[in-house]
Amino acid sequence: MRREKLLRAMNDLPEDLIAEGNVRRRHPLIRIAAVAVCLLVLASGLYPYFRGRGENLPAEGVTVNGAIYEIWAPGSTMARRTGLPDSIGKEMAGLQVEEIDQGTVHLYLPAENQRAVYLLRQENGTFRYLIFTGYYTSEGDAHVAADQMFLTYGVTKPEELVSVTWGEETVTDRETLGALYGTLIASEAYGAEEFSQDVDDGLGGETVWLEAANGLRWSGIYSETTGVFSWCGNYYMVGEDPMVH
Amino acid sequence: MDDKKIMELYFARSRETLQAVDEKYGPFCRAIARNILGSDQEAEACVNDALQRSWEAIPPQRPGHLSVFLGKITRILALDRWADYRGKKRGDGEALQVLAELEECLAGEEPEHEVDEKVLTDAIAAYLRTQPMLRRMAFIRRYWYCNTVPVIAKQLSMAEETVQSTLRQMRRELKDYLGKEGIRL
Repeated sequence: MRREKLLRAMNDLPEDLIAEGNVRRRHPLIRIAAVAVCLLVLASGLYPYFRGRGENLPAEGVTVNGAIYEIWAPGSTMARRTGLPDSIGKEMAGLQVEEIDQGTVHLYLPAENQRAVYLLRQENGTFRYLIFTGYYTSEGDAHVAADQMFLTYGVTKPEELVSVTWGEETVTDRETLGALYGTLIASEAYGAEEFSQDVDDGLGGETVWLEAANGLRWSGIYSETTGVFSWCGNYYMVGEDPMVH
Repeated sequence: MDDKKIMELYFARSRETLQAVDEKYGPFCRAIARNILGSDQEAEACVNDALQRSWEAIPPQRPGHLSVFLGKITRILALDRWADYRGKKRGDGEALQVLAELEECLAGEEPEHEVDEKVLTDAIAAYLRTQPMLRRMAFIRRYWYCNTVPVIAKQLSMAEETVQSTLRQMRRELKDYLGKEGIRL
């Protein structure tokens, strides 16, 4: 009876925990491959923005002017940050730059034994944005969390979302935005390739566009069946053309 | 069909509702029921009941996560059926093994006072939130979805031994956690 009580008590666990339990986790190699493919797609789409990178990157490091981060050479640590929410800065400050390659920055997080991968976004010849794309560990386990998605785009609380277009409906009222934020932040985000497998498996998904108060817009596909939000891709400043389709 | 449209069907009391729900979430619910009951036939009956319950509950309810809402109904109905079969010495789903494992979370002796189920649920949730995501996923898959260890290992790309040892460790930790919260089962 006592065991059954325990089993039954779990029935009313919070929805996010139950939904999270139903998310499939790919084999680490598949996951890292998915992130790699995603990076490749993004990098190829951003190629025009990285032209001339050789001239812009000093031999001993990268300076992100304009200015968001100053990143030093591999082996050194991030020295300065301005312009982004503290929540990101706390995460990034003091991280070791491990590798700078083809418009991506690999940062080592000693405490987690993880590497975080960021894409550099260049505007008018100046590196302005770091786009977080995922984690991987020394064992090759890649992970992209939805809360990181929001941090990447400078959203640290629901109030910083201006609108969410979910399917055909655009939501702007605060209460519903808060609920959508809660749903998305409880999801796990994957690379597009991996998510397409879920779509192929018939698990479905809907396009979601998000707009932040800082003017950034980005999109992804959310599957209510799996609780997965695929966000690796489209982003742009309101009023600009999308950088990646 | 997306969930928003399905909810519109529920609220319009459309005849197509349960068919649409069955098409989208039937396999998901059947998998939960089959894990617990160990029988396709019983799982089918259980899911039919669950769909009917959802029809009675919506409206007025408007679940935010339709899949989880249906999963919860299916799971509790499957556990009810399983308890009934168990009394009749029938059924061979995963529930018996799951229950045996949960024995490790119980105090040695029967407590003097009944534990409120809501308090217990909240404490389990609080414990799970202290855990890394992968461990939470393994736990939920085993004790909520009642997946077998080999299935969990495959789904989470882990070795079976790792899943078993993780779950064993989590059961011990949960027992300690509940004890610290003053909950004795």
